[in-house]
Amino acid sequence: MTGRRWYVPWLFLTPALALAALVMWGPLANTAVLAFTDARALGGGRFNGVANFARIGTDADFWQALGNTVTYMLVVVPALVLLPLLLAMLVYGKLPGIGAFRALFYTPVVASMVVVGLIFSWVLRSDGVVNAVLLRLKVVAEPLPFLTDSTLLLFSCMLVTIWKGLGYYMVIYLAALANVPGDVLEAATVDGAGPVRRFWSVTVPLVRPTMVLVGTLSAISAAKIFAEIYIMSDGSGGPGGEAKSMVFYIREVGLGVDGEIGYASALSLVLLAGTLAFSALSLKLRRRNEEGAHA
Amino acid sequence: MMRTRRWFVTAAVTASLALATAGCGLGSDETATPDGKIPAGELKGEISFATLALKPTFDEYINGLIKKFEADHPGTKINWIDLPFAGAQEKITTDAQAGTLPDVVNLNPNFAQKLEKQGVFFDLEANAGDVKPAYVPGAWDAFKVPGQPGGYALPWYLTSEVTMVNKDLYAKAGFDPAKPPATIDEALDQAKKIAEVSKGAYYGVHPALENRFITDLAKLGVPLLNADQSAWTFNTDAAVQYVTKLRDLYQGKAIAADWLTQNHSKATEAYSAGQTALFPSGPNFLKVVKQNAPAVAANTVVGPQLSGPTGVTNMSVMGLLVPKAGKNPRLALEFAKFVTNAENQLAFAKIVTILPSTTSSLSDPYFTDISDGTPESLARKLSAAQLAKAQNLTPVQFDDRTKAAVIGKIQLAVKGDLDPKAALDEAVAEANKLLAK
Amino acid sequence: MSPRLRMLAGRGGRYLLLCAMVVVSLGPFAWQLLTSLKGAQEPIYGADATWLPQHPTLANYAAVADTVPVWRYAGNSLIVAVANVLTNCLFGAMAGYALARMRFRGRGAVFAAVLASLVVPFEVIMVSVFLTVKGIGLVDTLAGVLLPGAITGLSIMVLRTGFLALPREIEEAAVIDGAGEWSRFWRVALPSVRGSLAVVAVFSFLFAWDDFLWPLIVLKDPDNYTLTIGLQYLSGTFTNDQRTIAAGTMIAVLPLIIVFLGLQRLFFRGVGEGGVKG
Repeated sequence: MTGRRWYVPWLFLTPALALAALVMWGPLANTAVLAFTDARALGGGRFNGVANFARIGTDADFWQALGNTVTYMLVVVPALVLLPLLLAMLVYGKLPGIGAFRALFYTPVVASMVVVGLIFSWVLRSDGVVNAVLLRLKVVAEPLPFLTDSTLLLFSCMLVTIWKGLGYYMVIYLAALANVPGDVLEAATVDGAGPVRRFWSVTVPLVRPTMVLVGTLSAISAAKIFAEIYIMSDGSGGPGGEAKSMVFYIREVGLGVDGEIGYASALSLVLLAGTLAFSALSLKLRRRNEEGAHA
Repeated sequence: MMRTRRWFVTAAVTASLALATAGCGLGSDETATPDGKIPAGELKGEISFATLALKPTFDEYINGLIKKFEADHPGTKINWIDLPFAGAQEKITTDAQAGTLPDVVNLNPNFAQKLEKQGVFFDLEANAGDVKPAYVPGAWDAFKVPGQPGGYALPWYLTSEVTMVNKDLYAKAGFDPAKPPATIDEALDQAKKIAEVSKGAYYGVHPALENRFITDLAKLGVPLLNADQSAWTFNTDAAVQYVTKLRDLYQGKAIAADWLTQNHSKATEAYSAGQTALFPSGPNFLKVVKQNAPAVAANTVVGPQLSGPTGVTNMSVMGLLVPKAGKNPRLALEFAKFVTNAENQLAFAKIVTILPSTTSSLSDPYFTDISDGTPESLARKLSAAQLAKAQNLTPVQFDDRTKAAVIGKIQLAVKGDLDPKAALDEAVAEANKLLAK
Repeated sequence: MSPRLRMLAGRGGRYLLLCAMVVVSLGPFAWQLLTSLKGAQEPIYGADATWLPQHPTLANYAAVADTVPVWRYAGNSLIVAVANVLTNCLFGAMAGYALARMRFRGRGAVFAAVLASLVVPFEVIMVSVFLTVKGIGLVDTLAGVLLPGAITGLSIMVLRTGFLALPREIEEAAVIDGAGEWSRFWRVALPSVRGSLAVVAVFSFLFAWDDFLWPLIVLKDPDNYTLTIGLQYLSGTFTNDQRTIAAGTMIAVLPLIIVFLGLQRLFFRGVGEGGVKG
């Protein structure tokens, strides 16, 4: 495609960029400036150099929150790349009533987080269904403290995230499957390759760009994880607050009448930088894939 | 120097806004005269009035007040906004930052304090000193800022906890429902006994640490802050004993494992589900229990608030504040006075189990009449009687972050991960760090 | 086993799996629905509470409608949600198309900026956004509610991925036809990514419909409230009836399910209908 005038891409980009500049990058630049001040929610703030970043280095709560967030990503991202794809495969194609199933699998996405938290708390509490089954099977001697042990609490929250994410990312996979020429998938079916083999050798290469997208999106949302932990721990962040995530901590520091806006901004910048680095990595991965696909 | 700081933040905010909007920085425009007096003027014009989570139950009452006020003062218009609890704090904070607070705003002391300190509201001791004697002194004082003159709110409604008792569960452990526990210690001892009898089917009392821990310490006579309120001091022996007691109960399975981190709303659910025999809470929760668990509500009797050796009880206060950013503070103040006057508060108390903050309304026979035999009227009588010895026991310095830091340590102690003494020491240290900021 | 039998068995197994997943997905939703149908005398918590309503009633829905001007609030929500769908689909597709199909100086930077916008927790920039919205005079308007979500990094990303997956031959055919940039985008590329557009539509609708904190902050006049804020009135200081709250949640969720059911066909249009071949 040659002969395009230089400004054409920018014409396409202008509406999105103008809006984003207004409500995202402007405020974001503001955050970047505030990160170098001791600004609070009310009243002035003054430039304090890298003091906020120095404070981060010795802030034990930050490192704990960072550790929790990274752990969260490590578990949730692979699960959310793979499981929704399997679910999408299950509801893909023509089968009587399949549309209804698709809609039903989408319901977790729209279910209210408060109710979801309530139900999962019932299921996972010490006299809940899961513990009852584990006790009955003699897997454990004492009920597992799913909600009152920081590590197990994080694990419980991951379950909620994965459960809620299944339908969400299934939708993205369904769209990807719809965008690929149908005859390729059908040809593979006719060839009689086994389902597992067909999955790895036909489906996965076809949806690989989408897998990278889902990986990136789920990683970004896992990096921002908050609601699950807040609700499952009744706002406490686990016993001693040891299950707090980055955003949980940022909110605690920066929100409210007495919020330390400066420090919270510095924390956000760190979160931003970390996630961008991760995304850059996945982009590199994707570029390699794209080149591989064209080769 | 001050000018430079101010300039820097203003620059930081405005420079980055794509549309540089003149005059918006972190702070608010003020209508006050330099001496903090509300300027005199005619009662005309329009104001907004923000309440906390009163809609829709009290639509009729609030709209009635507004209609009456508007009729008494032709040419005025009151726009009522009700904020749901969820998100209210963020909204008020954002409004305070942007200088867009409502003209009259309903807040509780802990929420209001930080804003009061920043000079967001008019000092009502200076501007409404004439009505001050009408209010319960403890309620008026709840809106003072430590170490600063002035009072910042006209107290509105009050609540004072009572103890709800599930008669069946309580009697099964051999206790007399007509004589519920009077003190915190008694309640904890009974909790142990109840758990022994129930074998895990139900429990004595939900700890709701986030909600009750700090007021319990105060009732036990633990000094929360030092005399000039510059440091937290609640790591005393009495506090250690109390935490140790909670820990022993928790480890002895007299408190359900999952209750460690739960808050008051989960305690309400637990009581509604018949999982606890005792439930210390505001009388207004009788209605909530009734809505969700009619059988439990029918089986409920009430007793007085749990107290400690000092006999002091806790009350929660709501107040009406007038922000300086408002355009019509004269009208705002008049309306706030009207809403909180004795007559209107008494009418409010007659439609819901709250208490008025005006001394004269409290002497109404309504607050001693229990002839209908309902738990509500008994609760009303008990809580009104308690008011004489009641204070707002939660120090205004106990804000959300301090609460999270302190309760976190206590949770670890109750769970057995931290020694009670060490937990309290660490809690005090962290709370002091936050206080120093 | 005959092929036919095998197919039937396979299909049966698939339905079994589907049904198992339905149970997992639907639990909380079903609980909400059933709670919303329970009569006033039934307990909600504890050992006495049953799954199925003992005295099924629609009274709770009537109670919601009595308490909250549901229609008005739902109308406000609908306006914001539909506007959000339109802006995200259109602007997102334009930006996504440029990023996927055009080579230009600064593309990497734009893409990084889009990614960056995904990462920022909204709370961090909320005050600045509010000052901006106040500056342009959109406080207490539905436009002010719409603005921060009007274009999201997510929409751009999803549509960019959609365009990337499109075979280049389609557009090359259009180049030969001599179509301009815009008509190539509008007539050829856009219809081919209907699946991705449906995704963006569903997500944008969901996002706008569900958002709570921002509308609460930007709106002042209760008449302008959206449904999520309005429904908060069901749990106030002096009332907390789980049945009406559940009924309120069901009212809020229903439109989402309908939108999804309506749009999910689009995910499949491309297949077997030759849509992709343009």
